[in-house]
Amino acid sequence: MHIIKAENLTRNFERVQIEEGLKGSFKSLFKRKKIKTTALNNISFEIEEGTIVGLIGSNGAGKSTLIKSMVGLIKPNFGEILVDGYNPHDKKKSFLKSIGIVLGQKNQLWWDLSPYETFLLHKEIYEISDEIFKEKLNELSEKLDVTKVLKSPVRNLSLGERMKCELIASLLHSPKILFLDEPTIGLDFIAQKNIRDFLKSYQKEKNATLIITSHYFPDIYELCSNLIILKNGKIVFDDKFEKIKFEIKEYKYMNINFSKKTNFEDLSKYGEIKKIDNFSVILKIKEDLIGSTVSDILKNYSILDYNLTEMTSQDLIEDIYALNLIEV
Amino acid sequence: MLKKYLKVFKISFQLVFQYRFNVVLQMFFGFLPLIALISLWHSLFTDNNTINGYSIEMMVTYLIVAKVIDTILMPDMHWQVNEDIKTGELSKYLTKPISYFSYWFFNSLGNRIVRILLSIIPISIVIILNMGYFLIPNNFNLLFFIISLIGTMILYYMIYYLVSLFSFYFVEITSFFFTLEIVLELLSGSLIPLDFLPNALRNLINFLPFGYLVHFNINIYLNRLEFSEILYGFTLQFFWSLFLYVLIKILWKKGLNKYESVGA
Repeated sequence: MHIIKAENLTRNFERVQIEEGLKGSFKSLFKRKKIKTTALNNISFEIEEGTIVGLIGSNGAGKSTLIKSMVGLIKPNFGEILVDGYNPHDKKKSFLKSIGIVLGQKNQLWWDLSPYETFLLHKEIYEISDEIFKEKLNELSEKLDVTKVLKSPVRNLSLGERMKCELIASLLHSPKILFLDEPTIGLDFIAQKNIRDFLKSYQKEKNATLIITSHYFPDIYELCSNLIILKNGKIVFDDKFEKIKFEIKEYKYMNINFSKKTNFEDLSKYGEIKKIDNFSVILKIKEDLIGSTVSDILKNYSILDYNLTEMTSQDLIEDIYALNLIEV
Repeated sequence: MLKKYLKVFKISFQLVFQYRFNVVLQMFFGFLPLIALISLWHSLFTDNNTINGYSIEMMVTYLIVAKVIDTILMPDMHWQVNEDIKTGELSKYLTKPISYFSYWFFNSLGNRIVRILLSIIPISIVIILNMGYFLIPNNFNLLFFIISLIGTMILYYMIYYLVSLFSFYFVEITSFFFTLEIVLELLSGSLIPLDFLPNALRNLINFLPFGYLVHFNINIYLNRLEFSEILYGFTLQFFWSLFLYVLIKILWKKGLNKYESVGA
């Protein structure tokens, strides 16, 4: 069953241009220059119930606009969108009760109160009964391991704890459809993994539909069964992830600082050299070769320090384009 | 249904008490200009027994009650509404089954109660300092006065909420807020009784909502109104609130079509 269905969705924005100089400012007093940008350009798609869909694309590709249209925050200029049978922009109560939203860069918890206060408010807003509230809260806070911090003021929580509490706040009413915009932003690896595992089990238990945007490659790679790739407001890929997954290699970036100048070119046998400076190199190394490569380099070169960074979804997109996996 | 707003009401309590020192300070010093105003009127009243129908006792009482109404009932949620719309913070309310209008109404209501509690001391001090001049109304007028205050609270809320919705259309609207404050100070009668304004303006003000925020209420308190005039005032409070509410509904709907939910 299609839980989300969009047809010919278009959304334009008008941006006021700020003109330079005194003359420009004076002119703009009377007439402002506006530039029309198209965030979503006549797109259509369908999302099956019970799937985890990754929404990826470069900055400005239209991801946020698309999510905002699906939750009813902005109204498309043209086209139609149905989420669980509702027009999101109507903001029907039963629609709002069936969706949950996590925005990694915005918080819904009260800074000066404890997360528990926000949960109590949500209990009333979503009309959750006492027993279900208690049961849900216990279950979620145990799974996410935040039972101890529920009654401390939010301002005293770590970023990871706060994010987990945000997640609880969005899930207390057991939404059928969950929208996650950068749910793991700024978190360390362990916290990221915790949240991923949790989302996976939530989806399975409820047969929920999840729509995720994330900058972090593992979020997309490990969670998503389907991918929608946006480019300049158009959909360039909308299919099962597995269709292209086998072509995608997981890799990491190794950022090395050398203590003396060396012949860096030799390093290319370990992987692609992405960047060379006087004393530092960024190497792109396949996931399964990380261990051996790191120990090899440590043995053979004199190194000041190094660190490993995960690939991003931007890398994923670039790979997809580079491998010609989709037609653009 | 009402339970969610009861919770909002309670939370607003907790939030204000986080900043209680701030609020207390604001209130104490808010009453300072009143001392200057009262002494000004004392010096004006030396020759005359009444000015424009007000005796010195009525005038002192008027000024004190006006200040109390302003302190307790003047909304301050419009700054937050403006901020929410400007920064996209509004999104977190829009995606939940809760009404933004009611949310702030009940939040505001909670704030009013806190303000009443916190202003008891400064008000008592002001009244004690003006002991011989402060009038107490009869029971009948007191009852109507209290009812009129409820009308004032609702009307105030409608006016400020409506203006804060302009945030959908203008990036910077603080000047609207300040203009509104100045206009209200004059036309509501919180600065001087409206009887002191020129007649032409006075006739116009009779039909506008502003005079029914402060001037009308105190005139009930001072026993200066006939029953029919009180009834007329209540009717105006009611219909202006209703009218503004309709405007709010329209502006809200149009605003949401324009809303871009900036930020995240």
